[in-house]
Amino acid sequence: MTERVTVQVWLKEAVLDPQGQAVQKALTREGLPGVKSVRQGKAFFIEFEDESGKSQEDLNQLIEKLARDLLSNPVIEDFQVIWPSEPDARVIDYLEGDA
Amino acid sequence: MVTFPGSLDDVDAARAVSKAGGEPVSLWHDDADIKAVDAVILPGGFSFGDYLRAGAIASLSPVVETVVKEAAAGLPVLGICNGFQILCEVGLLPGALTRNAGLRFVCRDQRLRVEDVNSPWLRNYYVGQELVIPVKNGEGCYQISKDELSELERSGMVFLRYIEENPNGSLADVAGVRNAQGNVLGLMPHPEHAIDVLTGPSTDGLGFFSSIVDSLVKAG
Amino acid sequence: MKVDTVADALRNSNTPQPFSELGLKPDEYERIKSILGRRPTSAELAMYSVMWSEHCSYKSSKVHLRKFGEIKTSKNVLAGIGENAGVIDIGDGWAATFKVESHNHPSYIEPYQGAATGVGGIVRDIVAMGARPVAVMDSLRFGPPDSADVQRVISGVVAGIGGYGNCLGLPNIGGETKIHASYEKNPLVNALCVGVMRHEDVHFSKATGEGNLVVLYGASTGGDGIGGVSILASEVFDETKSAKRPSVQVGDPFTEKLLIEATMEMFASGLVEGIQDLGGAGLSCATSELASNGGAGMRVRLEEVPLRDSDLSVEEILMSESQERMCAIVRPENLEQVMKVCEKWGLKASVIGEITGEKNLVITWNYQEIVNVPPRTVAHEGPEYQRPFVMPISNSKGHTPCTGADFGLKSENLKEAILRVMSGTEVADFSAITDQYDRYVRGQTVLSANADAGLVRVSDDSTKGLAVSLDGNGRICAIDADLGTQWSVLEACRNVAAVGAIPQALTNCLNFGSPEDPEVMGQFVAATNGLATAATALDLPVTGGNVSFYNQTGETAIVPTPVIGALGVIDDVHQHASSEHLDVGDVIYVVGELLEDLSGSLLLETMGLSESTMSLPEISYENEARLITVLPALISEGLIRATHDISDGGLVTALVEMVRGHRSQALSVVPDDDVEPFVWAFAEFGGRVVCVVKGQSVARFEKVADERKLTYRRIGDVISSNYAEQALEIRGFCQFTHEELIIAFQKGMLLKH
Repeated sequence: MTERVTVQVWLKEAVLDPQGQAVQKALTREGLPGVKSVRQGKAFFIEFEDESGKSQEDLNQLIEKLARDLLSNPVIEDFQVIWPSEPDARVIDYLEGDA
Repeated sequence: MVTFPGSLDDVDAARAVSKAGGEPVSLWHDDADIKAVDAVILPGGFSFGDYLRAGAIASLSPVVETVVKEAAAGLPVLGICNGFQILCEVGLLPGALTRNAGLRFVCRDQRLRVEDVNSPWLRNYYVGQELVIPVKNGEGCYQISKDELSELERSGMVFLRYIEENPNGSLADVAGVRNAQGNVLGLMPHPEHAIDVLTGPSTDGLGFFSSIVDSLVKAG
Repeated sequence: MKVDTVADALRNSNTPQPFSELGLKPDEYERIKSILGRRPTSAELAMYSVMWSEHCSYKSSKVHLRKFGEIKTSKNVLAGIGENAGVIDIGDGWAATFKVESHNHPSYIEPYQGAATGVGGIVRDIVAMGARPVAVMDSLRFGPPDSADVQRVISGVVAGIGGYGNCLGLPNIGGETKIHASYEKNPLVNALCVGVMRHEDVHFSKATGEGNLVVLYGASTGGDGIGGVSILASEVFDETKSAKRPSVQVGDPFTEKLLIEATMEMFASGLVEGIQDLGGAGLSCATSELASNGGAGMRVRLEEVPLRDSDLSVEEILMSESQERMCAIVRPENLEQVMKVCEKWGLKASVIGEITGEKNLVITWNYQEIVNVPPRTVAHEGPEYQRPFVMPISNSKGHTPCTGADFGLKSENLKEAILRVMSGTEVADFSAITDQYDRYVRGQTVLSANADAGLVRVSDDSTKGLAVSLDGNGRICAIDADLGTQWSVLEACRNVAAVGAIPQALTNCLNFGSPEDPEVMGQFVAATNGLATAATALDLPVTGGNVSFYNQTGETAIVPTPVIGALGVIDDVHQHASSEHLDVGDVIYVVGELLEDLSGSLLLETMGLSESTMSLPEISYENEARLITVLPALISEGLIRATHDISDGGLVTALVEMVRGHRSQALSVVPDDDVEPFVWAFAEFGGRVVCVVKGQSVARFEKVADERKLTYRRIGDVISSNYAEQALEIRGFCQFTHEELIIAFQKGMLLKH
């Protein structure tokens, strides 16, 4: 069964994010009114085959552990695991198209 | 010194160790055997292309696993630039290094001040000593929680600070930190590039390498 | 996938093919048909069209570049024009290889990647010669920096060069950054790489040895840089193609670093018989050149190429310009070790073919023959155009020198003129650019940015050093392309001599507008004449280089911009000179013959006084060659403490640049009263160098200089100062404080911190 999950990672509030600040300035310059803040982060689009028959609960725990231990640096980053409630057409497109 | 795919200043660290009278031993990232060396240097560079996060993938390699174990038992470890990033990723040192505040790579002859010398890597320096050593990095901004920073400052674990100008926005101008025990050190500046006035701004960096050699010789 | 095979070509000889869309002329298409005795397959058509393009075949320039190969010199050239890069002997069994290449058009489209992949490409060329790359330099040209678009280009290009070069672990040891209106939409990014090896390590890009294997290693192949070749795919196939092809090549310096280390290991273990890097025209270039150079036949199984995009057509695979790939010729008994090395470094590696005893290059796709061509016709027998050209009018025969008085410049305005020149973009604080480059990595850099030439020690166990300078001058080449190029060659050589090294070889990057414009073509021909003249007169081989045409927007071409790289050797790297050491009491000389002439000077351009009827002074090679050979000798004997070459902006600019950073010293100089003040301050010809001599060496310096018949003039002394006080005193005229100069330098900054 093909699983798809997105892990978003971004810098914690207290951490200096000069890229986010630069983007904020650019957005303001390019006409977006009243920009209050921009945080720049990254997203991991993961597609995997689960043959083990793990429960959704177990899979979620596994992904959260990997997100904490590998995909993010908890000292400076927060993360969020997002399981699509409905297949996200754009994500599927992206994964099935050219890498 | 450890070579990861993408390490750059491993050769330069080896040269500095030789110059100080030590014997440089090359360690490969994939090999958990650290060949009974007396100290380990994690050199500068772009290990694994800085993919995921600088130092993140390197911190998972077999050799680093061994280094973590041995460091707990007192093995002296020096992390330079990318090496510092790896030590923070793996938790041997507190805090983390992020993108330079100015968003640009900076290569500069940097003025520094030694704040603490409680380490076998620092015995040939004195507190208050001013050094000129090159910094060259794009992700050298040291960040840590305020509480943890106070703790560090209080216990003398900040051993090196930027003076005159902060090249990357590091909190409290922190250029280098050590662990409580003093055997593990991390710093963004490159002492291996300040060992010969022909190719560097001073010989101020040699002290790290002569200190460890002297400390090891003294320890027998 | 359905492919157009040789059998198809024989069967359907009249199938119309889009040869003109691919850039081939009707007579060229006919020639291909007569070479093959049939119509080409789609894949063959793609190969010929790309390999016979200007970029790959040098069809407009070949006939004129030939003269470089005919220059006879006394230097020991181990590999000359035609190889990936030139290689020269530098003594003690060491050899050096260097080359400069352009990546101009991509750098306007995508500045970061354009510049980054330019660095990547030239580094691979050096690796392909068997050398370890040891340093990079760059010559950059942009439009006036006030516009947002130019800022976009400058910041992207600099970040790209730094980003790629730093990650590779190559120190950037210098270069130049110039501004001119004609570069606004046509920036020039010329990247140089220098490598070092032992004589026995020289490798050539030829495939020999029947049964030897063709191994492709490095990054996988994707849809980078395919461009027009995709026409073939849509013509022949009716596939729904994803429109996500990157229009620009994207570089990965980490993979290139792995490629370098893996290749060095293969060289060290003698595992490679021949090697070629994949650059323009990718696989089709690498395979045809390897086969052609080796005079051998080759079979390639295209399905063995590791792909990152399974949608690629065979034409696209052949044309792909995906970066960070090399092609090695390996004996079967060495294959296992080669694969082990690639595995150690995490690189994909695939045997894609072998050398055969046949004559042709045969490429198959799943056993279907899609290419069967004589490799020479693809790689080396491309079209050779005799483009019509109109030689630029040279006024040099009737040249009359001009002075400040001719333009109504008065000596009371000297200080103002000096500050104006110092505030321009030529003489500026470039640290916002150069601080983005690592100059320390590898621990061999002795001189880098701000020095006249970059200088690196050859190895830890040698005292030899390599000095490299990269110089161009669009301003004077616009006045006279031939003489301007000659003066540019002298500039590059003099920079090398000024640090104490003896020039040994030249490389060049010739940046011009459209070769279809006879006037531009004339400038090009004149420049090649100039380069050949200067090289011959200085006994220097032109070991290789690059031509970039079509640098123009609409009808407006860039000013003719030949960029010259000079490489020199110094026996003891400790005995070098720079402007680092100045002491109170030192004596300041100007060495070399002054031509009292403001023609072609930065001063006149800055003041808006240049005229189209200007001309350049003639060159006395006797004087110039003497300076270039005697100066390094004086430096190596320890007679000279500090030097700085005089170029754009004349003597006063050289003095100001020298004293920069010496906060406790100032230079106190007296102009010659028999020379017009503006000429004294700003004349740029003949070749001269400011030399600073320790007090106690003065007598010996003058004696030796006299013996070697070197012209010199004592102009002043180094005196004590402090930051708030003087930096430069031109006695009888004006003086400058350090602060005034710093403010002026910051005015012209191209990139702010």
